[in-house]
Amino acid sequence: MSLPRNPLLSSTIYKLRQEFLELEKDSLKPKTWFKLTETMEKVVITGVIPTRGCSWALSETGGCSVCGYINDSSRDHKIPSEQIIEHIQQSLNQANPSKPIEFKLFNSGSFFDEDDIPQKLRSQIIDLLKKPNKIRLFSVESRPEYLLNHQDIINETNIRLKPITLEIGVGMESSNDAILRDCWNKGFLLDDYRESVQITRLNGIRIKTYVLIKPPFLTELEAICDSIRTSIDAIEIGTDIISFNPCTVQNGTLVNFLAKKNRFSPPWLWSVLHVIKTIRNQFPEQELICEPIAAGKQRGPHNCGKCDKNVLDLINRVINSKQIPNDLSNICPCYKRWQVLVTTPIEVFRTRNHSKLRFLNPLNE
Amino acid sequence: MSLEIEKCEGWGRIGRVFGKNGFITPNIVLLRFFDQDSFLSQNFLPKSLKCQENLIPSVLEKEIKSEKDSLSLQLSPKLFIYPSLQMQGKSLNDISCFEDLFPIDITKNSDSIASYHIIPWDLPIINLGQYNSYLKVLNDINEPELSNNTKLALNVPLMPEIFTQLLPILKDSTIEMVCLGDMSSLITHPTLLLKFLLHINSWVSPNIMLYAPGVPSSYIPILVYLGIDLFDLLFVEMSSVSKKRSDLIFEQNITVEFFLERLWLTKKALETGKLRDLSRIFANSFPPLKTLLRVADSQIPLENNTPLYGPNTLFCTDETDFTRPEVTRFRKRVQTRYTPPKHIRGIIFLPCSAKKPYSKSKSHSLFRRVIKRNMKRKYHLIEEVILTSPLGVVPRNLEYTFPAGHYDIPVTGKWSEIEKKHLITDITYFIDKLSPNIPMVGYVTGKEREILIEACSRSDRPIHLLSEEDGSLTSRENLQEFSRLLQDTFSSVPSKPKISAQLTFLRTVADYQFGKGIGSILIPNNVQIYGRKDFGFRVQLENKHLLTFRPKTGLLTLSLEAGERLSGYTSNTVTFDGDNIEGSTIFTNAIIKANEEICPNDEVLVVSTTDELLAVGTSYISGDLLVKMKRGKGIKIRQKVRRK
Ligand code: SF4
Ligand SMILES: [Zn+2]
Repeated sequence: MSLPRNPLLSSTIYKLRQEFLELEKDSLKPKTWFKLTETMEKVVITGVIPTRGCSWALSETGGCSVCGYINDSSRDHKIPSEQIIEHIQQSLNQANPSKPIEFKLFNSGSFFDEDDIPQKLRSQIIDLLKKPNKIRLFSVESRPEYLLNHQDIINETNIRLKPITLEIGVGMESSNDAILRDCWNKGFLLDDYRESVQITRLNGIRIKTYVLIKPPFLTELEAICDSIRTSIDAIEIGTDIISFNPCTVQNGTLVNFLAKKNRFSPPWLWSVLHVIKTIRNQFPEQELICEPIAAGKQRGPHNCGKCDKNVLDLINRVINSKQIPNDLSNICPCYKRWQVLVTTPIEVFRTRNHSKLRFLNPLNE
Repeated sequence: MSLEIEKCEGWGRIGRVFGKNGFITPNIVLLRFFDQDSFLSQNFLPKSLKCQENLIPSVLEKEIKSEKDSLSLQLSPKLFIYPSLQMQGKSLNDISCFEDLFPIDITKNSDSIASYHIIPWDLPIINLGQYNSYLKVLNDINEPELSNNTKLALNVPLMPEIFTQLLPILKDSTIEMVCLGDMSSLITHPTLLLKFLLHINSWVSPNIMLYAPGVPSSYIPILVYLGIDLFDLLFVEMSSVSKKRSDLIFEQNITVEFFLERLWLTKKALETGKLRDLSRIFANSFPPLKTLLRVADSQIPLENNTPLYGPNTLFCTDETDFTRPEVTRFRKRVQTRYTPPKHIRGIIFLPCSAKKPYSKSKSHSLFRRVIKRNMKRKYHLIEEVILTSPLGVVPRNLEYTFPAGHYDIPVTGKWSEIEKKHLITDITYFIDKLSPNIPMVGYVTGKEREILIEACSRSDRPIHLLSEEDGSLTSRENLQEFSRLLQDTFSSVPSKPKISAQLTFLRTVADYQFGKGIGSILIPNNVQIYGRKDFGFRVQLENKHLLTFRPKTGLLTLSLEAGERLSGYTSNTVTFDGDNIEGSTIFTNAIIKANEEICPNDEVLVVSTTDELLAVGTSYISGDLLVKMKRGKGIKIRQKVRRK
């Protein structure tokens, strides 16, 4: 593992991303997005804010192979700081005042990256959150290198936030160095993740680990295996919570390029269920979450189209440690198809130029 | 372990893979999947399926219940599939020796069955079309030291840009099997599939077996005919979960048993020289299959590897047979190698008969009686030519020659456009070889008459025809008119001294077999001819045996004497590496040169590197294969030069 990245992959991603951003230069707009969900015991506010954008994605490495969040970031535009502050304030005002709040703020990059979020904006946000005195948890994201290199900023933030718990989400995606390098183009290896998580947790900060399900190039079976292995490794390293993210196809990404050529398709929901079920069985107490984006759609994780809703329910039940039927084949006939796909090496042979593997039987394609 | 060809037809072959645990192709490969994660097998697979070394059989094998099937599968090779390099936590840059490619040590495979191991893929390299970097690494690492039962296989997707890169790595390497990974996704795209096969065939040595994963059972015969040696049971496995009932009659409720039976049938067809016929039967079940067969004839040079003579009867039942290699070869040879004998002064075109050779039929004996009666001493100056489909023009002297004496067609009296087109072409070729003052009579009615008229008008030549357009040619009236026609047309033909009909006959066959003009070189006027056409001729020259005519095939077999006469004239020549042939068979490893046009069953001359005749014999396989195959029988020796 000498090189931290695969030049062929990285240059392809870079090319594709630049082409897309150039082409869509005028129509791409930074987007702010907020959502409130109220449960029995708490209010969860999820916000996505258009900061400058992930430095990794903006660099000449091209960024991660599946990530298109950069499309919604400010990039060369001015960061709409006032607007962001205003939205945060609004959402806090809207929250039910009798319940504690969990505030998840995603900048689709790294919260502790000075290039991505200017220091001023970051402190403004923190001050804003401290005021209402009802926030229990503040959750952000960061790449491991900032956890390692910006420990001072993180510690300072953590102290200022007290008594709010700080949670940092790290996109680990895979614990296999070759897959990190050759499939995700993450730019870091397992050891970087391990070190950053261990150091950060020493300061009482919670770590959320993202496990992406199904990278480009791998077969459905390989992707399942990799996600299971990754989750186990993340738990052993000490993550507080695992967030499973089934891969979606986003504009300007390598995955999009491959999907157009029929060389990539997002995972089956059965695969997602299988990964989560396996981890749940092994680690009954482990905190897990999974909120698939674009589930049931062509560009997101999906099954045959008839059972997608049901299987999403099952996924939720497993996440919440509830019972699900033993025999899944009764839920939908496509379960058997999926089972054959993953236990049969047909996918290993094909480069998928001319096949839609969800149909399996070449005569029906 | 390596492959010998025992029999071929088209690109299809029966191969025998030698070694302690050899097997025969076409065959099934049994797939073994490397267990990537024990969690998976716990969740997916019954415990009983797990086996040593973490290799899981493909699910279906547990369903093989019948004793016969499991017995036949015992003789099938195993193919091991490993996770990609990425799943193994490696990248191409990490590969420095052969062992790095695999998650386990495959060199110590002690399995009792022949085992093949697919070299794992490097995924981004493959999927981003950078196959060459992958092949380069494979090329650079040291050749592995494998045990005798263990061999490598390479998976090749449909990426035309990679084929040029394939050659160096496949040449003289330990890779003995190529998996055509995209085959199953191409089966409804026949033209692409054919292109893929053509590419593969031009780059992959015939010593390497071709394996097509996941194809339906109806494709087995035709894919074998197009060169595939190995299949698997993946299609059955995948079909087992399809709700949709298949539209294909041969794929309905497909089971392992049926699948294996198709394979068995294909093997039988190859053994009996009926593979093309079987392909046609299956091709008619599915339009893309039919397209495949049709296009194959025009795009793939199947002729050279189709035996010069085949089974007793050659069935031509539908339009795909009009272009089957046996037919095309006959038409081509009549067009290019046949020349009407110099003494010929008149031509009579006749219709074909169901009975072969034609002269044994009732109608032809009637015709010939009329001709003999009218021509009397000029009989030998007349050439009889039979018009037929799909062979086109059959000169009387070639009526015994395969396939003219062996074909069988459904009799309908109707001609399709393509049959018409072929016949017109062939008649035109024939007429253009005749000197312009030779009169021609056409004793044909119906469509043949129309076609003959059209062909003659194209060549701007008069033709004397029966006045009646339809009706029976064996009726008394028509035969009488035939007599008059002969009298009128040929009365002015001057009589000439008699030339031996047998001599002309043998020379015509020799031309057909060995090339234009060879007949008169091979068979001088002073030969002695013994026997009868129906029982065979033995031909001697100065009391030495020269050649034999075999009525069953309608072809000649040569003696050493004949070989001497043909030396330097015929292209059916094979160069032997050495100057002393031992035993009665020459193996392909001793052959360094062979003419490309040699086909299986062809008579060949074996010469030394200094072009000295060493022996005469029959080729088992095509000229191309004689040179390329590393092992196996090449030439069956009939007679060789005795050294003192
Ligand atoms: S996945 Fe995260 S690290 Fe990768 S490009 Fe997207 S935002 Fe950046
Ligand atoms: Zn379904």
